[in-house]
Amino acid sequence: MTIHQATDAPAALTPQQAGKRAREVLDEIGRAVVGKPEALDLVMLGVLAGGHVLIEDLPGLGKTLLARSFATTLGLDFRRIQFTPDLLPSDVSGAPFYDQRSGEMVFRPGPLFTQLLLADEINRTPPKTQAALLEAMAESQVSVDGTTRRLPQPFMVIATANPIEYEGTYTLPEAQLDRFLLRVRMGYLPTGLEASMLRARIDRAAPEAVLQTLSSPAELLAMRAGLEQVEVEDDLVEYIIALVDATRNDPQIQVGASPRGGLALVQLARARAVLDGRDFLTPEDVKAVAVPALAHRVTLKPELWVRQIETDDVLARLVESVPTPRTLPRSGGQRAEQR
Amino acid sequence: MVPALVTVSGLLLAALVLRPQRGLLTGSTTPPISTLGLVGLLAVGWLAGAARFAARYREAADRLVGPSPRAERLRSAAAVLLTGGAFAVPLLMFVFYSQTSTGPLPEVDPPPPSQSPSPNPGQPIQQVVPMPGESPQRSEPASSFAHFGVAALVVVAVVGAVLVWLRMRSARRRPAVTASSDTATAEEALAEAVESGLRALRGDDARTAVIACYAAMERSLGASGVTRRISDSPTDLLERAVADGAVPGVHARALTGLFREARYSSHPMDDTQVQKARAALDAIAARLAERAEAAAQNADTTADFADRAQDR
Repeated sequence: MTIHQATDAPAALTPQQAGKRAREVLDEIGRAVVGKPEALDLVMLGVLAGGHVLIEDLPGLGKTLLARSFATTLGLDFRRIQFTPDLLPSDVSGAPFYDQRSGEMVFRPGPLFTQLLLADEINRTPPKTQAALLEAMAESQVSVDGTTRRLPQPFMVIATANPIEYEGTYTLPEAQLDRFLLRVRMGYLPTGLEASMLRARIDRAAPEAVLQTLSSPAELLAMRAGLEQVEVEDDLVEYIIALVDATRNDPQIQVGASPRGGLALVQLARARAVLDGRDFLTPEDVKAVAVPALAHRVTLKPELWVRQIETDDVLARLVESVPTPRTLPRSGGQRAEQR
Repeated sequence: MVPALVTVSGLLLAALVLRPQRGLLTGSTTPPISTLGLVGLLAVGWLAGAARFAARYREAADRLVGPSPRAERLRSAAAVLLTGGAFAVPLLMFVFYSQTSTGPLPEVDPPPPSQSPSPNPGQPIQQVVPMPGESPQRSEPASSFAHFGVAALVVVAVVGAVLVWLRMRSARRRPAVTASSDTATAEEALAEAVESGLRALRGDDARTAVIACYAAMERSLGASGVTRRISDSPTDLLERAVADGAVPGVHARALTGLFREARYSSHPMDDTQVQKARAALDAIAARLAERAEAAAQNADTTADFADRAQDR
């Protein structure tokens, strides 16, 4: 069990280089996870933006495969926790135990000490254990027995959750949902693609495609550093604020997006620009990630639950109603004012 | 409250209609007016249901976000079909009713055959009915009723078809009609937009020039019917314009790319980019002018008439 530590401060890649590498990684993962390019792109955006990803969908749609493929291809140390109703916090973060030879208490790190953690079916465990993930996800550190230990870098959680309506699940608390950078829905494959997926499985004569490791933790950190070079125009900052603000003033929404939601939107949009090979942000980037970045952060009015309206729908409507920046920048926009 | 009242009164009515002494299944003994009333009730019910459904559908369709052009077309087709269905089904019910009641009716209806003041005196078509060699005593009232139904159906169908045709025509020809009804102003606007873009191109600032080019494209697109929605990103507008066939995809894409770079990045912009933007704008303007011209040629008096009718 080796944990690759990024030894030196990574030299930042340019956004173009980072985007190229990220697309290569995505292409490789696409060999194993068939027919889900949008979901893969979104998870990749989360990886690039340095956040945690929540994949919410029914069992058997390839959530675990997706997480494992990312770990393999990016060369990250990978652990998996299967969350069950009887899992204890110490099972996640680790616990001190008595070493008989030295006669001391020694801390044995839990599965949390890894670079990519797959938290499988996170809503099957009671809130106490879910909360053990909180500090780790927000601060990248674990406090056990009064000692705070840093987690390896990069550290990210890909959590999967079954829809809440299913029996034997505990709804994730709002605070914890807010710690996920984005929520991804996978959905079923179109039947044509599902057939080709089965065909590929039959031809392969092995349970899963073997993926190559194309990247390394150090390179991932360099790619993340490249993200910081993506410039954001003032009008787009205002657009992002307008979107976040719209979630707070919508009649169908009880609790709007937090300031963390705005930050997530900026970083995800920048990641999308990187994946597109650009070093500047455009309204398309913001629009494309607004729903995955914000939908899990808002709480709808209770009466909407009866009407089966989901946050995704409400957010999509908001995105279609908030004005994008105007064509002409404010400084030189005299003629366009006439429109 | 209201649905309960309607239900109760409906039940009462059903009980009245099904009075056993009238004979439940012997249609001949039932006074025609009650059957006719039933058909009328059914028709009214259908109308109410269809109207309610149409309202709900429209509400849902309005809330639809960013529908694709295909969905847009489906939606308009469904709207027409809904309206048509709402009126056609009750009419058909009346027609079928009057046809089936041709047999048993005659003995019951006493009115004198010719020159009888028909139940609907306003209908000129009915005067035509009794002429050919039918025996007037027997089938006159029923057949006049049937003919009335058929005539009304035909009129409604024709009017509906004309309306649908006009609407489709005006929707398809929207840019054309604009161009033809006041050709001078539209073409002037287009020329002015392109000219302003080109004027900006001659300016010093390459960034402003590229942005102005794009703004010119946006304005001329607006003049030809593809307007920028408030929540549109440049790509959204581009996709709609290309799907509409208003602009050549390659050039519009190039210009949009240049615009995004000029507008949202601090990259240095130079003459080559301005040249590219100019070439793209030229190509787009040429296509738009071509379309406007073709449309102007096609537009005939009917289109003008349709446009005015719709304006009214």
